[in-house]
Amino acid sequence: MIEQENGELRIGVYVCHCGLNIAGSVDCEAVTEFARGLDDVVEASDNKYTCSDPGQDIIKNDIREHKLNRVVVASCTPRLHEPTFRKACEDAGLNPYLFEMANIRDQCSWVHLYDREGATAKAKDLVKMAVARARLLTPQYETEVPVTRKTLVVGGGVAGIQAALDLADQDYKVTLVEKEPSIGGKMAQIDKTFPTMDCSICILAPKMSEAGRHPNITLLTNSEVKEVSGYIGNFQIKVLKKARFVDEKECTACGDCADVCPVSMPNEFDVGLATRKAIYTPFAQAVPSAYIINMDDCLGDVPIACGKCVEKCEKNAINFDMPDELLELDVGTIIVATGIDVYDPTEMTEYGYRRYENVITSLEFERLINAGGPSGGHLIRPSDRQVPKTVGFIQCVGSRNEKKGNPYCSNVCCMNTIKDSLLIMEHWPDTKIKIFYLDIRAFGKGFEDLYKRSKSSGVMYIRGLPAEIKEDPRTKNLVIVSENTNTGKVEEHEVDMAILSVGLIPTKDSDVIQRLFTLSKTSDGFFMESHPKLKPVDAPTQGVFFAGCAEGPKDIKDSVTQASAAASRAGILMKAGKIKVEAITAVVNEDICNACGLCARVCPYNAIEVDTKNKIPAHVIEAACAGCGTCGAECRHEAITMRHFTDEQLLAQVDAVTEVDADKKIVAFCCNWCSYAGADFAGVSRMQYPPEVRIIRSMCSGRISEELVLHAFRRGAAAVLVAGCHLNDCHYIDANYQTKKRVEKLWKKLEKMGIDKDRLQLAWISAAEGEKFANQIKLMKGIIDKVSAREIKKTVEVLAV
Amino acid sequence: MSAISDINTMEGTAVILDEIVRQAYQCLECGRCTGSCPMVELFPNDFHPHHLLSDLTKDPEKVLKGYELWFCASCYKCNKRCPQALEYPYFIMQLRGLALAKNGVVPLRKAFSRIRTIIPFPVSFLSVCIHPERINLDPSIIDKMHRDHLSQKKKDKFPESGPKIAVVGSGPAGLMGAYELRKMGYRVSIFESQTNPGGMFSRAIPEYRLPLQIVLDEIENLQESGIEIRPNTTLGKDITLDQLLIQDFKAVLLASGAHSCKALGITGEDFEGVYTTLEFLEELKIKKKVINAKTVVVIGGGNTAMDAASAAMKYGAKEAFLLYRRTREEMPADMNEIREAEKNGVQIRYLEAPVGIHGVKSKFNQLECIKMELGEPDLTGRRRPVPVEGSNFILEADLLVIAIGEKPQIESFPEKIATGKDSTILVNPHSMETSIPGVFAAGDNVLGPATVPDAIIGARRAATGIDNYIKTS
Repeated sequence: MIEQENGELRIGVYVCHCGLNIAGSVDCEAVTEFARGLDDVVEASDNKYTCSDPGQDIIKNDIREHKLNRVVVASCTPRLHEPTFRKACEDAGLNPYLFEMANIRDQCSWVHLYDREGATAKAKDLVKMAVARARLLTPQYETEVPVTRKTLVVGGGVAGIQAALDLADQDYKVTLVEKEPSIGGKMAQIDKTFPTMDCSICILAPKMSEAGRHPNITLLTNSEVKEVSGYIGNFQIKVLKKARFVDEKECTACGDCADVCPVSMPNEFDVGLATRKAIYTPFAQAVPSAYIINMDDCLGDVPIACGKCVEKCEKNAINFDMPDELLELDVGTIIVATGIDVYDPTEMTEYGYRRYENVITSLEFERLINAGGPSGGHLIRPSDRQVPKTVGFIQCVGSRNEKKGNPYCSNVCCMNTIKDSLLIMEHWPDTKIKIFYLDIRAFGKGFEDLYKRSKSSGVMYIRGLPAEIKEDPRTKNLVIVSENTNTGKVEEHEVDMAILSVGLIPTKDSDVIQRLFTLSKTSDGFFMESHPKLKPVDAPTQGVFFAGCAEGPKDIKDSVTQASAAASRAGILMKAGKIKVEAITAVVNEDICNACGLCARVCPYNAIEVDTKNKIPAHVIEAACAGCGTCGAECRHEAITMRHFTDEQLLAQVDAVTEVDADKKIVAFCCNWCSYAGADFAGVSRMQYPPEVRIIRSMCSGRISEELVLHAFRRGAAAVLVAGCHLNDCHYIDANYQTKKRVEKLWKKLEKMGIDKDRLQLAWISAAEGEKFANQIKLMKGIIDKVSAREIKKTVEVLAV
Repeated sequence: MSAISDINTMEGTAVILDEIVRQAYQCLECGRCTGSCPMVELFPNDFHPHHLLSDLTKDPEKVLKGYELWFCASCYKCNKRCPQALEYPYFIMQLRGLALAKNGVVPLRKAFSRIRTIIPFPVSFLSVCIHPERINLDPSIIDKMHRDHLSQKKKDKFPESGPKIAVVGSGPAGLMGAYELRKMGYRVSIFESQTNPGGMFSRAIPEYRLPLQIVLDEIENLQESGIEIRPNTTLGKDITLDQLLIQDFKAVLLASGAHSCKALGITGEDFEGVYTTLEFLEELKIKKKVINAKTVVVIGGGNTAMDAASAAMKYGAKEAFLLYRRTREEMPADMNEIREAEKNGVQIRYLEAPVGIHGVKSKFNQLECIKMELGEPDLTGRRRPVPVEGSNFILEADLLVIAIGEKPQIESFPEKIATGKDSTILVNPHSMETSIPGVFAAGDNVLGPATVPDAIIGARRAATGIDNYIKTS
């Protein structure tokens, strides 16, 4: 075994070119040369691709040959390749926690593409910081935690159903939670699917009933997740199962109750085109196949007023006093399959939706043409219940629009309209169909064929989005005004009915889901995946996976594919039954601790036990500690050590940054999950910002103690940034509220000391907000340019005590 | 984007042009601008908004030399519909400034010679729609065009034997409709409720934007083609629809506009010193009244509100506040109008609404307001303003203009006519025929307060509709 902790330090530094990704803007040879000159560095080399097998072999050989006991790789973000290099070190017999990375690609070369000098200087600093930290690294040993072999699937659309079935078939226990009275989701509302024109409910219904009767699946409909705690492998979930007022097991779905119910309400499943009773089943194939009472509609909550259904029910299944239940579940993995809503086009007043009867949305169309729908599958227009002879489809309603609706392409509307056009032609071949489009995106397997079929069946495709729909008040016919952009002429097309092909939007309650599972959203409002290419179904929160449209608009096939992928990812975790957790938890030095209890108060996980009355020192429950470091930042006596993110290590990084030209630099403390990832995202998107910033990573912004910030100023730094996740989006429940409190206190303190408080900035930057990060640095460049040498000197003097 | 004053420097010009071209590249070519543009309907061979954008990406200098630039009437429909949110009318305004500085007035003259073949009141139209005052266009150039138009106008002689048509209202819609019908050979009589013809042209557009004399000259010129105007005759009061039909008018075009100002519905609206927009603008224009009020408050967020507030500043107010109950995001006024009002020194206050008008001896002196916040979006997608309880405050002022929108005077319409939202008349979008056969409508009484080019195209359609109606009945 290599001498790891004591004795002579022997550090190896490996500078990666990443092809031209780094070498294009950073002089990698110069950086390597610089590294070689640093104390304790015994070996330094540069390599075109350090992550390649030969690249890793060099590291492994050097560990053996040069007896390296610390390894530093300067390349991409640790969020990508830290596991790779840790493994390489481990293979060569070095404890993986003695490895450190300098992020000279995502946070250097990519964001300073045209400033080779600045980028190279920054890369040298980043390497120096990494070496400084590496010197103080100590071996850590990961503990294993058990993984509960149960899954929570949130959302019972086709994605949720598929994920639940895949896992249940592998013998894992699954709880499927759905907020509606039945599973089935949007797919149940659609008539046919593209490109094969299968009947949607015909292929979905068997899956729904299979999910309903699978011995490994517990179905909780009319239910919502209320609380999530715990961590990968060991989540605790609270689910509110709202009262159905009908006993699911007793109800035979005979429908006698609905026959006598006097209340009539718009049926949500038919998008308001038909009515239902206060006691109802949303659609014929509903699972569970049991009625439900909507108590807001029911007259029976005052039993004297009405109780007709109770009298009628032979099985006595109806109970007005049925209570809501709060269920507690323990699960190891979670699949988020919360789906989408459709865009409401009312705000696009020029199309007259809700003003003109014969303007409908594509989802309403699905119900109208569906045999189980309100018109029994007869396409009739709402104003006079006649079969329309001319139909216009308008594409991109609420999609690809910066002003109204959403800027993104909704992915499915083109194909859905093409399918709809063929459905109409199939039943009423004489119908004249005009499709007004911007671009037809028929990119999937079998899509182009369907498009061609539609065109050859006589459907007119007219390029250009309509400017306006007008109504003839007498006939209720519609006039679609549109530039035919192929000819440049403005045309008016009279149609009997216009169908707005509406886009997909994140569900209304996606904010709640985001908070419950500490997820991030991309700018379009859908959940952000852990890595867009390589971990497309993993959430950034470990143990949580995505299926279906929650992660982005997609069609049924992609939703099902993703669901199976998510199930497989969750299965891999649960099959092992245990998982190693990073050795980054807190350790209390009981000799120093005076049992003041502050750490326990700020711990978001209640992972610290302390008896303040009897002065029994604090004690960390390791399995519960997530390693945010808030306790360590709060402890006034330095009695808490955060493993792998110790005060000494972080201070050494600050020292390294501020050794030369501190007065021109920004020291940025960024949390691993959001702001550090946001800085990486700025890199991936090649957003350019000034090179004066040096980022120091911690797991949570809650880790950044007062002393760390003051130390940076004491060392002459021009400005300091503390950046974390948005409030309420913290990956450690609410630890960033402590950050906020601490920085606000620091501002006061700085002011008192006569130091410009603008030099300390606090920013909430999510993993998707690369632009925000870049703008923050641009803003701070303005601040540091204004800070005078005198001011910095004064700061250093004031803090010197 | 850079301010328009940058045009004075070479660098400024290049920066503005570069920025516009950069934005022009973002066009998705969906055609919603062209489809919604009323000027395309009037000048299909001269103007094409989205092609102009693509020309800009190819050769911006050529666009600056072209006459196409001068057709946009700044109605902002394109901007409201552009999925890329491009502010087309603002580009055009800036380009016109650049074009004037670089290439002089020749392209404008060429455009004008086209415009006057279609629009019978071309100088009024230009003055209102291209905003010469915003692009530093010398007023003498407009004067010259006006004189040329009057002298060059061929005295069209149309037959005197055609059927008689009655037009109600002599605003842009009425005049356009009358002219088109006259060209087709009909004998046209316009019934105008005011003494001066011209509708909003002569009542509401501030004098600094459009001198009354220009309007009257152009109408006089138009009358020479054989159109009769009967002033001081109000439909529903001085004459009824039935009487018109008895007098042998074969069809009627209702172009009576939207002159009924909406009221706030709070106390004190009848106080001295409280005006509706129309009253206020009319005072300024016709009675040539100079404002001796120090502080003017305008309530509303539309183009008319902006015009009233700007006019207040132009005509002597020390300060003018504009109160709007939502935020700038939701404001219905066009960006150009908001910019212009701000440039004129109007102070726009968002999220504030009036709750009471106070005064001494029925003379207004205080406006009680309340702060608002935005709630859930309403059906039009705009977030509903909700009052913040207990946030009342007093605004001292001596003149109040209520500019929260106008609607047609429903009381003047024939009883049987079908109307829709905000008392507007429902018409067949092709023929503009109302629910009463033989009665057609165009302009603001169909659209609600809208723009001059929209009134014109409606009237043109109605004229064709009437022609078809008469030929087939």
